[in-house]
Formats: sequence, C-alpha cells, structure tokens
Amino acid sequence: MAGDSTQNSFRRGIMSLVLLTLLKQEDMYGYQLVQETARQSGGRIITQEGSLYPVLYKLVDQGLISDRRVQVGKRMTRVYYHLEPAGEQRQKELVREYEEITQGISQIIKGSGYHEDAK
Amino acid sequence: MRMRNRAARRYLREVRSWLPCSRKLKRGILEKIGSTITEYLAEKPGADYDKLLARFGTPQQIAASYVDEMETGELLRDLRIKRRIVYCVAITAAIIVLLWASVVTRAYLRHVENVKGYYIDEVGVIQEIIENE
Repeated sequence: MAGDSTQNSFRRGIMSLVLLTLLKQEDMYGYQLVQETARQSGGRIITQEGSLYPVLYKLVDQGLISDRRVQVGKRMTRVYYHLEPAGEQRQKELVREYEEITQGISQIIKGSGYHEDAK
Repeated sequence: MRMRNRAARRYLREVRSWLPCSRKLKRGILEKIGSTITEYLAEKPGADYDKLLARFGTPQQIAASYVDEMETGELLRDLRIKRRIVYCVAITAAIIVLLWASVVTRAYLRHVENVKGYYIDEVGVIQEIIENE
C-alpha cells in the first residue's frame, strides 16, 4: 500500500480495520490517523488524508464511530473521531476475519513450496 | 458550506465529479473533506491547488478509497443499475433517431410529390398556350 496506489490489489476493505483499530487506542483527528497509520505500520501503509474521509463517513453513518468538534486554538476547530461500542465489536470481527484469511493464504503459499523456491 | 479559497473550490468540485455515489453520500463526504480543508487553510491560507493535492490526495484516490470500502453486493447492485440506465438511454436514443428519420423521409417524399405535380401543371399550361396560338 506504499504510495497509496489506486491499483493495489490487497487494499480492499482494510482501511476500515486500520481506522477502527487506531481509534480503539485513543480518539484521533484525520491527519493524526494518517500519521499513525504510517508510523504504526512501519511505513508500509501510506495514505493521504482525503482518502480517509469516505471511510470515516461510512463508519460514522453505520454508528461504529462518532465525531465531535474540539476547539484547538483561538479560531481553529478540529474534528476528533471516537470509537463506539458497536465499532469495537466490528473491529473484533474484522480482526478475526483478517487473521483467518491471512492464515489460510499463508498455508497455501507454504504448501506450494514458494518459500523454498525463493531461497 | 461556502469555500472562499478558489483552489479549494476547484478541488472539491473535482472530488465531487469523481465520487461514484449518490448525491446524499457525496454531500456527506464533501462536508467532511471541506471542513478539514477549512482547518488546513486556517493554518496555511496561501495554499494552492497543488498543495491541496499533496496534502489530501488526488480526487481519483479519494474516489478509489470509496470504492475500496464498498460492500461487494452494493458495488454489484450499483453497476447493475448503471448498466440498465445506459441500456434504457441507448434504446430511447435509437427510437428518437428512427422517429426523426421517418419524419424527415416522409417530408422529403411529400416535397418530391408536390414538385412533380407543379412541374406537370406548368408543362400542361405551356402546352395550352402553344395550342391556342
């Protein structure tokens, strides 16, 4: 996902999981979510702030997260996102699904002897 | 929400044109992006279109992230509806073209008939004049 390519084959649906997991740690605003995604993924998941908003809008619409405006300066406000109980439940489900799928794929890859060929 | 910055208006207009969703969803997503752009411009008032692209991503990337998060069923339903709309528009356009073609052809044939009648009459009148002389 480095470079936020629109052609990446594996990015479908993972941003919901990433954002719900980050918001489980603490409430964050948009740009902070971008920075934390890059930092905590070791630079492997780079995204831009605009790309988060369709996902955030959908999560708010589904009641999984909520948003609130916070005054951060004299005239500046920021929108912080907060994980709701339904969001926490959904995050656990997504983690389970993700682990099952990646385990299955790893088994297939190992079974095909890919790692030995690569050596 | 009215954007004062010209670059921001252009950016939001392009995002709106790329987002493949209903008007209500577009409005909701654009409100979120617009509000963040407003915060960004409060810190960097001179930001131009390129700076907005660098910070927020291209309109195509934003549209792609929307599509990436769509449920497969929802995506298929949308594509099916769009295919049906294209099909209906194509059929309607074909019917309109056929109707227009038939109206034009009739008008042309009527015109040709009228011209023939006038020509024959004129020859008939000239013939009469010659005979009378």
